[in-house]
Amino acid sequence: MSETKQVELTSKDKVSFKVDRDVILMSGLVKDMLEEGDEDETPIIPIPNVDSKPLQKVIEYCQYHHKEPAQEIEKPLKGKIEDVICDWDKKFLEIDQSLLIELIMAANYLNIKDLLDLTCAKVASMIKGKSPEQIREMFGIENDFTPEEEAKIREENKWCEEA
Amino acid sequence: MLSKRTRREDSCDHSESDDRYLPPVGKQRKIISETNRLLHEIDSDVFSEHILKYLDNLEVIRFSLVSTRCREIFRNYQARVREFLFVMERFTEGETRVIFRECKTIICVNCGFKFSNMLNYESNVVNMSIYGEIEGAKEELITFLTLCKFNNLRTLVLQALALNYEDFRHILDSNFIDLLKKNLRLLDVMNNRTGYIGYLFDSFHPDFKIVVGSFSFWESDKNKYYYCFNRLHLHSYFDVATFFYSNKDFQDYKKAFHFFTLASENEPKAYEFIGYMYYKGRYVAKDYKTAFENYLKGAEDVPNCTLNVAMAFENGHGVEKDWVQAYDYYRKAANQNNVRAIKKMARGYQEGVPLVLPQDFKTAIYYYRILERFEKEEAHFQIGHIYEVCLNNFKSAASYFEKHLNNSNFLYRYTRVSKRAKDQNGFEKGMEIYRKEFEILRDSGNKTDLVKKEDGHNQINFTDPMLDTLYFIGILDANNGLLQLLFDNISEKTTDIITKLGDFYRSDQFFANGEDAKRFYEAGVSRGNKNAIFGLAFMCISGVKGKFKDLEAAIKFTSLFLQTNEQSYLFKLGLEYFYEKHYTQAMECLTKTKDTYPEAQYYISYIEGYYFEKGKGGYKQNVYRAIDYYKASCTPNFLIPFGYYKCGKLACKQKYHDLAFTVLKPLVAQCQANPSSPLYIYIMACLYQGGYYLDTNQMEAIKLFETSAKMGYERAGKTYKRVLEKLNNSITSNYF
Repeated sequence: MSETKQVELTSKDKVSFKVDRDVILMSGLVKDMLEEGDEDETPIIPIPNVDSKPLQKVIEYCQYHHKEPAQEIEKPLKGKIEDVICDWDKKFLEIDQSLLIELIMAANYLNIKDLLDLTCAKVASMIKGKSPEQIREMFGIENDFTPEEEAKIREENKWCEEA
Repeated sequence: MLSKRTRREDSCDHSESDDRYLPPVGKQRKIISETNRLLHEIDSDVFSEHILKYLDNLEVIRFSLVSTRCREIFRNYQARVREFLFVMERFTEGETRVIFRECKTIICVNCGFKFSNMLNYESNVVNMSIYGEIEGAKEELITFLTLCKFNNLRTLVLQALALNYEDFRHILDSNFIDLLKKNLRLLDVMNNRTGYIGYLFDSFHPDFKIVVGSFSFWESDKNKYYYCFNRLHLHSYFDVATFFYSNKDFQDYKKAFHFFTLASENEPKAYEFIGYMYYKGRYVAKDYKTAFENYLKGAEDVPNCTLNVAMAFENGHGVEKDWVQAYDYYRKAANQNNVRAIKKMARGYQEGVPLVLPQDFKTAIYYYRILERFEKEEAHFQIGHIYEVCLNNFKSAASYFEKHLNNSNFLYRYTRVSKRAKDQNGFEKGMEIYRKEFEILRDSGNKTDLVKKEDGHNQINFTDPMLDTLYFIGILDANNGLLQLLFDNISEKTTDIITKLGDFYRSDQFFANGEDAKRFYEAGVSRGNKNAIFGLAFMCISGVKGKFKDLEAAIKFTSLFLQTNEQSYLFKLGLEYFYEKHYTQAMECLTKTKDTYPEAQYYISYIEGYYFEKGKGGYKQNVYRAIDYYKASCTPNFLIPFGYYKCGKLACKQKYHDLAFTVLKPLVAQCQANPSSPLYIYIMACLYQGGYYLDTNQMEAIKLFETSAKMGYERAGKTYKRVLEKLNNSITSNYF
């Protein structure tokens, strides 16, 4: 009986998603909310902090991983993240940077530990092995140190080029 | 736990930071670009807790240099991460400054950088550890420590930095002494060259403790050591104790005992010393029981303690003797890689320990394989020995002996086992090494090694190594041409070697050869060597492999020693006559030597018992007196096992059950304790055969006679043959 029960999630941009209760229980936030409500009804849960696009990805992740628990990712990463995750996760992460950031925030908000770990490890993997200048370039980060700082930093940064 | 889900707009409060390089928040900040969302939209907590954890420390530091926001995130990260492994070699001086300012816990390993660039720096480090040699940077380190302001330092570890007493005084009396006195709780100065303990810490925080060590380097001013004993940290007790225990200049068992006792709280090695002090009676009264109890406490962690527990059980020191427990602990110690225990287990299985370990060559080899890690040659030699002597697997034996042919023991055993295996190539390989070795020795001698013989010819003046080599060549190949050198050279040394070769060919288990023995002995006798005469006499009494027995010649040679009353020769010959049952000659020799060798009396008693039993040697047959004499021949160490047997046997026949029990019970135990001795197997067979003490069991008796005979015990062979014949006759007569 419980397998057929569904939950309706409403995104920030008012898009509704019907999803199996067992699937979305991966979210700590949703789980907490369901425990408070009446089990016989099909609850509608607003997710005001997450747009429909990342929310769809979150549901996609939960649908796969609620039966196939994710493997723990090594800390710190020794190489690329692609070397330590399953093929499904690799494909899942083939998204643009903007969506990745939204997914991290969604995973954090919805309290989905495995998804948060996966997406954060992806960002770490992008930072890994890069000099500060390369990191700036990759993420479009402005170097906002003051000229005095800049001079000091430049001196401090020598090691980055050497390493 | 996940971090807070609410986003903080700007959580970093710079007013609390000591960062002198960063501008105030918001000042001169540029507009956030679209792609910069990563840093500004993701919560600082999420970033530091969930993203940076996948990076190593070096990468985290690099990240902190990207922008002011990255530095904020890094600072957040630092607040979460308790320990920052800082391997200085991987950072520049500039980066080092950042780390010293930002991190709470720093571990510097092999830091070879210029500390002098860090002067007048304020640091919020709480726990700082500096390890390893700082080649060429010691002065900089001292300057750095004295001039850098540590606001919150609670733990300071300065290990293996070659700092001396003056260095430490300099550091402690420096600018930050007040901060240290206020904050410091632990100072670890292990492995330095310091008499630092002389510093007074009275004005430091009440909880302050010091870890010291490597006392052997300490300056030899005895008075300096006592100041900070009340400040010692638990980890220092053991070092201080061993210092007072083993340093000759400062040896003080009372202090050593005191500190070992304190150290035992967290250092099990202390139990080994405490136990040993009780065992030897150092400072404390000798007390095996307490010694054992202390060893037992350390046995879980300290291999030497486990070994000592085993030895205590084996020898009954402080605990009831218990060999089963002893070998349990030897096994545990062996598992802890204690070399002596490994050898003990190996030897135990090699020889068998009655009622404890069976003789098991495979397990013995298993332990020798473990020993291989610690004492390779010893392990290989023993494995080779087991393969050759116990398992008759000559090929495997040779493969082990071949591993170290530069060692003379291995060379000898390799050549010998090749000879036994009839492996001509192996044998020749060994002999070739011997011949070359001899040639090298001969050629390395100078001309003065050649001395003139009386007939005018030169002869070699043999050195000891040359003679040793010739001896080995001789025992491996009695007909080797090189041996002629020995026969041509008349000297005391060469005569000794020739006689020793005679001994070898008379007595070797595998290569005994009467003809060669006789040849060498006769050469020795012709040079008037007493050992050669004795050897020849011995050979005539007991023969070689059943041949060359000549009682008349033996008596002739013995008479030479009787005339000169040479006690040791006569005693040995007496015993040999005894074993060969030439009791008249045995009595003559042993009676002459009983004052010098009191044990001779036991043999004489046995012979008299025999005479009374059989009515021989001019004695009137008297079984009671025979029993008395046999009983008198029984020694606690089973010098004459047959004395026990005969006494027991006659007692059984006379129905003296108590006496029979008294002598046969220990005899049976002795037989069971020596399962690999053909003599005791033979005696067991006799006991089964006659039903003395044991229930009569003819089949078991025959089996044991056969076993003993196969092991080379001549008497068992004869008895076995006789018993079988008797059995056949009995079957035949019953059938017809």
